Parts: sequence; structure tokens; C-alpha cells
Amino acid sequence: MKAEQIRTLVAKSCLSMDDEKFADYLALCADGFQYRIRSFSPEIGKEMTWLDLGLDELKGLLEAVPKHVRMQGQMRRHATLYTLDEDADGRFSAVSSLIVSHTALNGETHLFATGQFHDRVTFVEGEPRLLARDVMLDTRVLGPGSHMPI
Amino acid sequence: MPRNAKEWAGVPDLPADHFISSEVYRDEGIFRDEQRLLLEKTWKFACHESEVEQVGDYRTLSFCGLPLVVIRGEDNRIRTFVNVCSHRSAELVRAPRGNARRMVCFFHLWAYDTYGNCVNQTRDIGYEEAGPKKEACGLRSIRTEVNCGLVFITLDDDAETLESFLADSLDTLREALTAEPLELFHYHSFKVRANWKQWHETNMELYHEWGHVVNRQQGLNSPGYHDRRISIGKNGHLSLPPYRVSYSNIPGWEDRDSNNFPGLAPGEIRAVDLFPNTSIIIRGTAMRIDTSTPISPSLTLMEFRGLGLKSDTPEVRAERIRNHNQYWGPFGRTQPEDGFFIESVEQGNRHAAQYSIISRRENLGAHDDAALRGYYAEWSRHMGRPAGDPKGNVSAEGPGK
Ligand code: FES
Ligand SMILES: [Fe+2]
Repeated sequence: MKAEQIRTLVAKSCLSMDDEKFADYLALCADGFQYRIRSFSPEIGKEMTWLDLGLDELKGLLEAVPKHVRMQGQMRRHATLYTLDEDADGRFSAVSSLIVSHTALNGETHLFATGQFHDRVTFVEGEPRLLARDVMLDTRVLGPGSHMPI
Repeated sequence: MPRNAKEWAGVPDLPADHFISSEVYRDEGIFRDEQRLLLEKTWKFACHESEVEQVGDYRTLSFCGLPLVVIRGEDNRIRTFVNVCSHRSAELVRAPRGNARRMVCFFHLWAYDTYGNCVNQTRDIGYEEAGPKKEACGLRSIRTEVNCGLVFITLDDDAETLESFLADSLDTLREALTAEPLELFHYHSFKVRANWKQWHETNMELYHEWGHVVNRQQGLNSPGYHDRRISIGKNGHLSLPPYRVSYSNIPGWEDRDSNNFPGLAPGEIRAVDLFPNTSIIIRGTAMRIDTSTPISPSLTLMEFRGLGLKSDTPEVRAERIRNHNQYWGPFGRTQPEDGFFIESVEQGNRHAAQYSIISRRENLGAHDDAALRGYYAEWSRHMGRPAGDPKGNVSAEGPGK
């Protein structure tokens, strides 16, 4: 039952970002939510953090997104929950495989990024909520880049 | 009033150095001349010395089509070699970074030391009759010099020294670059679909800050913004005088009161654009170095580094990285926008535009195009032709024809 709820949570997080329904996305987050994008660089031999936002800053960013100059078209996040573990504190660690595609206004689609979601999930009044999401990117060459969290 | 075809193609009614011909960005012949007359003749930023910190540390890159390896030698000196084996031309070092006291080719296992000497020819008995001897099989060496921790290379064995090339361009950043050892926390690259000069121009041309929502929110008419005076130095390098920026007017951000780079006031921005294609920008707590590698007239490899101090605690490092990422990196608030701007300009230059206007005069204030005019004066000096009329069309036909 909980596994199914968490699977739905991951799916909703993708759909709400794809559709830029930011309030829906934020409603999936628990208090103290932390969002990060990370990637390992063979060029400098280090793991890098490319985005590290608490809930307030994430809200500020999402509000500003429409004002930014950005890639036009449709992003699609395809996440599949691969593993789910209950941790000692009663929370869950969920790993999803991720690919993100982008379809430009002219209808041309290309692969934007691949990686994984490493999520920490807690239950609040019976509903699963994201405590933390670490987007572990394999793709490091992302064109000019994006203002949208993945 | 809209312009007809003849008017559109006509030479702008401006001083000759106040516009750039679009040919400068799209012409194949000009691109080849730029490689030969300009890029191969000047000094090019390769990496930061901390990327090759220990003896044997290496870093690979490519420049002007040449695959290169930068390596710290047994004598602690940083050298650069063409990353190609002298035997049958296999790629020698095959990772972006690593450590090797001997660089061993993976094909027939010839080996080279950190000075570029060939030190092993596998089963060398086979070369006794006809040669060559090891001594004749060293790697091709590329001139390499280090200034303020920045490693530069030049393909021109007769180029002026790096010190003379840089002149006083790094003066405003010297303390920040040298007071303490630095370290990289960020590297990313992408191929921008634009001419190589465009990114550098955008770094120099602060008028485009009107296009960034974050810059607009910070106030482009705020006190002091237009009072600083840009300075164009020797060899086309540009230096932006210090300016204090407020960060707390962006929702969720805080002012950069502590952990600023040595020599900087809190939140101060300092920037230097080194001719022809490297920029160093510090926003109080975070440093960024951009450099480019031209691939074709309309394609350019961009590389971005983020730096902090080696002595940073994990907390301070995390703060620097956060500050860096607020503007920069693939998910920054301004850097992706610069990519969209210049890819759009490339399309215009390639398919429609004849001229680009760089005529703003604001008494050398932040939005004065003198920065771009200074850049193209230097470009013209190397190329032996004006950027407004690089193919001699105007002088042949006369203005406005
Ligand atoms: S090509 Fe390198 S050893 Fe033969
Ligand atoms: Fe910009």
C-alpha cells in the first residue's frame, strides 16, 4: 500500500513539474524539504552540487520561472521507481530511474538528461510527502541550461 | 520606419568602429584567419593550477583542433604537450584528468616522462637498424606559463611572454587569485550554437543585463551602477571596476556579507575579460572562469569553472557553491539566459543580419559599448582588417551603397 502511494508521489512530482503546476508540486513536499541537483565531474574528480534549495528558495525560484528567458516547449520527466527501503526512522528511501526529454515548439524531441531521483519520503497524516530529493544527473552537458528544477 | 532590402544592407551611418559586420561571425575564411592570425598567436587560458596540483597530475583539453595534455612535471613545473603518441599517433592520455609519472600509450606501450621525453620504445631492438632513437621521439611541447595561478598556453613559439600579454589586466583580481590557494568546485561545458566571440562579447557588454530578470530585480538604475568606469587595457583586455551588489532583494537570497574573496568588499563584483576569450568574474563569495574553444564559425565549446578557497570549511564551501549556482552553472539564473541570447543572435547573424551596432556612449559607464569597440580594435589589429568591413566591400563600393 505504502509502496503504491510512494510510486504515485513520484509520478505526481513529475507530472506537476512537466505541466508547471508549481503549487501542486509544492503540496507534495514536507516541511523542511531540500532539493538538490548533483553530478560527478570526471574533469575535476569531484561530486558537484548544481542546485541546493530549501523550500523557501524553491518557491522563490518557481515563482520567477515564467519571467526567465528559457527553453521553450515541453519537458517530460519519465521516472520509474526501482527500489524502496524503509529506514530505521520509519521514513523511506526511494530510488527512481529518470530520463527527461524536451520537445521544442517545432515538435522536435531530444533527450535532455538521464539520471536518478534519490528521494526521502515521510508520511504526514497518512499521505506520503517528499522530505528530500537529490537528482543525481548522469548528463552534464545540458545545452545552455535550464531554470526549471528537474 | 521599416527599411527595404537596400537600406537594410546599407552601411550604418555611424563611425566606422561603431558597428560590426555579420561576416565576422559567419564567414568561413574569416574563421580560418582567426585561428591562424589570432587564436594561435595569443595566450589561451588552459586550466587553473590547482587542477594539476601534484607531480604527475594531468588534465587534457583541445585547442585549435589540437588534443593537448597539461601535466605537472617532476620538477613541479607545469608543461603542455600535444596528446598524441610519437609512434603511430594514438591518443596518449585518455582521461580528462589523472596522475601519471609515465604516460604510457595504450597501443604499443611506448612511454613518456613528465618532461615529454620518450622513455620507452617497446622491444626497442626493432629500431636499432633503421631508427628512430628514443631521443628523437619526444612529445610536441606547447609553450606554457602560469600567472596568478592561471595556466596559459600559446601555439606560437615566438609569442610575447604571458606577463607582457596580460600586462596589468589582472591587477584588480590579483589579491583574490593569489592571497590563498584556490580550488575548483564546479566544471561544466557545452557546445553553444554560436560564434566563439559572442559569449565573450556578452560578458563584456553589460547593457544586456536588461535581458536578465535577476539583474533587473537588482536594479540596473540603482546608485553607483552607472558610475563605475570600464577600462580597456593593453592587448584588448577589459577590466570592470569593483561594484557592490545587493543580493537580498531576490526572494530567498541573502546578502554576501562574509566569506568574500580576499581583497573584495562584501558582495562586490569584479570582472576581467581577457582577450580573446576568457573571463574571470567574482561575485563576492564565488569565482567563475569562462573560456571557449572555437569549433566552427557557428559552434563553440564553452567551459565554465567555479572556484573557492582551498581552506574553506565544508559549510563555507557549501555557501560558496550555493552563491555560485544562484547565477551560474547549468541551473543558474543568468548563465542559461546568456546561452539563449547568443544562440538567437547567431541565427540572426547567419541568416539575416548585415551589421551589429556597438555605438553606445555613456562616458565609459557600465553600458558603454567602448568595451566592444576596444575588443574589435584589438581583433582588427590581429586580423589586419576592420570588423565593420572585414572583406573590403564597403571601401570598394563606398558607404551606403
Ligand atoms: S601508437 Fe603509441 S605506442 Fe604505438
Ligand atoms: Fe549575462
